[in-house]
Amino acid sequence: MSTREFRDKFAIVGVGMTPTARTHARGMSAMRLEAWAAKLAIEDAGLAREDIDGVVHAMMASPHPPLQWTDTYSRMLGLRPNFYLTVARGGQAAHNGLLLATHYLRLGLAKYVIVSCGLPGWSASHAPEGPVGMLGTGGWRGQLGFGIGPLGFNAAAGGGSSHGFYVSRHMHEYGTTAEDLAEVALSAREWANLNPEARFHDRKLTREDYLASDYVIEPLRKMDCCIESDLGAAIVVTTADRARSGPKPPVYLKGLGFGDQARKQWWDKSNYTQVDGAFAAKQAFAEAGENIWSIDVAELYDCFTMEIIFYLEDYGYCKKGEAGEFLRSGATRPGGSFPINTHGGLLSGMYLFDFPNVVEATRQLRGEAGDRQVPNAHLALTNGHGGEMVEPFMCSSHATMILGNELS
Amino acid sequence: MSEQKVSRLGPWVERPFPPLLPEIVPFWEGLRRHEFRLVKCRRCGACYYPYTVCVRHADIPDFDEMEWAPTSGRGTVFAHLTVHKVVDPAFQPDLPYVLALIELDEGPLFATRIVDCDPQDVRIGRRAAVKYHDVPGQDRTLPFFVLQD
Ligand SMILES: [Zn+2]
Repeated sequence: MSTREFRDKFAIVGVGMTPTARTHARGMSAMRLEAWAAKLAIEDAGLAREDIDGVVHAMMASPHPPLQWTDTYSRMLGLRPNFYLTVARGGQAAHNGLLLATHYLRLGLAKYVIVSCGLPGWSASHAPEGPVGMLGTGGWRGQLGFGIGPLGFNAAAGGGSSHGFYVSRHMHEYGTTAEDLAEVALSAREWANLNPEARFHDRKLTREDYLASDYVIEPLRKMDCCIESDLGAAIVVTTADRARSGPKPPVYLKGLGFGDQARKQWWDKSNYTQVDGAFAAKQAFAEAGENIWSIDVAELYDCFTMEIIFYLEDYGYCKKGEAGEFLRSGATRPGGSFPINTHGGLLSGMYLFDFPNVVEATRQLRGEAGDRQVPNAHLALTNGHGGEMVEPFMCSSHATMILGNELS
Repeated sequence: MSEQKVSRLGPWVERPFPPLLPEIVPFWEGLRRHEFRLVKCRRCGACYYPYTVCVRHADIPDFDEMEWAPTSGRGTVFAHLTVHKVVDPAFQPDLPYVLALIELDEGPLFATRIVDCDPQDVRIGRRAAVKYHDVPGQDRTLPFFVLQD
């Protein structure tokens, strides 16, 4: 992709996220949450329902009815899009959705595309009859049928039984410690304490709390794992020319890149101590004409604390094994030189794949982030990682995006 | 190491398992015969798990050039976790239990449970071997692993 074709050609003009990360939304379906977020995003963009002529619905790694059965939520809102398409791969679904949306815009098949997602994740895991869906006893990581999942992988909470292998290997190869992981959790919580929408807005976290918290899947403690939320989120994207006529400053898409560890073999050892962020980031930064040090704020997919360590190392902010030191400098915390996850992240803020990252980056670049606003934020980095969790290899894909509030 | 510890298995072991992909069925059929099979390339002998068409050749081999063949069922611990909490109550009696990636002597990584051990004894690099568990009353054998001294 050349600079001519992408950088500054498209912009986010509206974002919406349901205010439900703290309250939860028991009794609301994924469809309802997604529709609610879409309504908020359309209003945020200063548009009417008839302006939306394209819908991209984002979801988990693979179809998962009834937990995330939202085809097609747009009917609930009375939207009349020219197309309604689904993208998947969970943790990077928003980035995938934006890729698809920009192609529709480029081809002139739509003027305003909404990319959206909904998931009653908290309610599903706190159902009176016990956890349901991907979080429940049926399991889902064995669904591709290799047969290993039921032996105890699916029974372990969330994606921990896969992602924990990353931690085990990184600790072994680079000497990463629980104290290093704690830095990620503490940084996220400090930001959450500044964000009234964050799940743990009013709960402090100390290093002692972290180290005293129970192991869930050792070496992962509870505080290393992202939270669950009942949440919907939506993003309205259009061409840059159209974006400038909107009520709010456009947030331009500057670069988008993708990677996948499946470029190597399933069992390539390096797949357990890195993500494919270096590959994805190289494309995104080249397209944006920027480098990692020009980023003002980063909203990164912290499904587990270790992922932030991978990103710092694999994007080039520090060498392998040195992320702990980088984190201890305070750079990622409020007031630091490289703020990460100003919304509180998936660890302490809210969970909905990579959607909260894009929503928060947009708010930061518009100067709408209140107490947590990063001063003079012009360039933001977002990412997501996703895919199936099928042993021995999981969540292989990666997406990186650069957003900015000024034309290059 | 003193007295051999034997892992407890909760009632999960008795319930029906989800259906298998047809391509992985020969692996599970091998387990019934206490054979640890991997997918082997007829051309070069390279082993794969799960089902993968050999990548060592300029062309893409035909599927019938890959065959399930008995292998050592041995390897070393590549990564390991100790599960302390489960969302599935049928696993409660098993806690804590160890999940691991075993780097098989033939190359591939195999995800499994290490049983009959103290979780503290599991370390990366330790030798491990398959331990076949025939599920009573069912036509199914589970490929657990155990540490070797
Ligand atoms: Zn071969």
